[in-house]
Amino acid sequence: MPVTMVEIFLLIYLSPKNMNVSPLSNLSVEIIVRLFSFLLPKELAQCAHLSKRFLTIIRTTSILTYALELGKVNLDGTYFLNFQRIENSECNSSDLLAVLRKREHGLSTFTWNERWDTFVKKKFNNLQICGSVFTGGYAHKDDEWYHVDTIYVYDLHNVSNNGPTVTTLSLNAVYSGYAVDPGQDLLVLIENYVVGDPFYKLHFHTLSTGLEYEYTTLKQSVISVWLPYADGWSSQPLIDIFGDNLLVKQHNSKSSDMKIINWKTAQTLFR
Amino acid sequence: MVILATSDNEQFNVDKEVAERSVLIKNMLEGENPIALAVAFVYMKLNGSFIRHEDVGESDQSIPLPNITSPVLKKVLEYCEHHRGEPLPSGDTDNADDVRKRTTDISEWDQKFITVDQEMLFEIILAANYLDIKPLLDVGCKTVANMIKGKTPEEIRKLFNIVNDFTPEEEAQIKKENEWAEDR
Repeated sequence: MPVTMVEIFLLIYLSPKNMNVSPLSNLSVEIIVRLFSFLLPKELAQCAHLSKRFLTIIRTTSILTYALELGKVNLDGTYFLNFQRIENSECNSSDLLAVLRKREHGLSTFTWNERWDTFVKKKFNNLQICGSVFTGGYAHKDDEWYHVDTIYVYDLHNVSNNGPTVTTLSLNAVYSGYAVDPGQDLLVLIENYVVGDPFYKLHFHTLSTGLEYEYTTLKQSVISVWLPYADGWSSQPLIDIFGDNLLVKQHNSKSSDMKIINWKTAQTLFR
Repeated sequence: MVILATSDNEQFNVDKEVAERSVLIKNMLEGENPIALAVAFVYMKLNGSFIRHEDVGESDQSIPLPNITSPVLKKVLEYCEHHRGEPLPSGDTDNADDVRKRTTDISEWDQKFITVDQEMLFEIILAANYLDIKPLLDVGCKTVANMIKGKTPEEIRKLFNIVNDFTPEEEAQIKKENEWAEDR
């Protein structure tokens, strides 16, 4: 009988060289990711120390430190950070922080710098934060930019069709998030998302126009934002935030005003 | 009845209902998965035992499982037998992930079932993944996750025989990044 694939498989599998290899290390990425989904961020951090392969997997599947930052304040393990469509390569916390710094530098506006700094400090050192929404961001590594398209934070005990629900957060917890458009001109902050409070506050900041706008909205409303640029409007949608049904988009008109549209009612809320 | 044949040429006669706990086998039987069928066909051609089996003229379908040995398949079938009749997890993995509670609780029977040596545990995980039996895969993954919980990286490495391929500098760097996790 000719040598079959089965026999080749067994031969390789049982060869002495492979006898000492860890079965855990040899699992496919898909299985390891599934396995890791049962671990808390803190335990995930331990696994990042195990070997280069585990570190890479953890970094590429969930930008580690941000997951950890969330984990720091989110102890009950009900949250699952799902980074969707991270193109090209892995990125990690220092990459993202580098991006934030680079962004500041590129924007060369002190107020803006300060705002970022304050924002980063405030948002990520504040133990009240239970979740964050990153959208339309970029990560920088080895002089290349990588697109981080959408990052969702799910409460897995309570996921509805509308995305992450925050109803099972512990009392007095605050849900915060922010999004930056790819043009790095608009920053949207979601603040004062308090469980039990039907409203939350959105802060819009634009660099090119210096506009700031604060908007208090019902949690279940969906909003679209059209953002102007000096050279006109982009025809491409800029960002989508699903943190709580907030949609941010760019419009292709010539107007230089910022427009906020309520998605559900199609009302222009701010121009 | 469905006949499953393992890599070590053992054959198992299994109730269709039990065998269909495996989404892979279910799709093969329903002919919904042309790739799986094609793969099975190739293996049947390659492996003499299946051709012999065909020659006997059995009308039952024989499915070759070239990645699975008989002791492992026996375990897997024990699980399928016990959980027969339970609703299969519906939808794609995304949906299943949402619904799936992120806890490491394992039912009493499953707990007992999965109390095996490490080698068998990983064989079961690989088989469950190959056969696409998500609940069993999760039982296996949860068991490994529970083994990881509460251990230091060094203890985990020792437990699973993982080679530390970091340089001391790299390890220090990661340690620094994850400092918060150490002191809690």
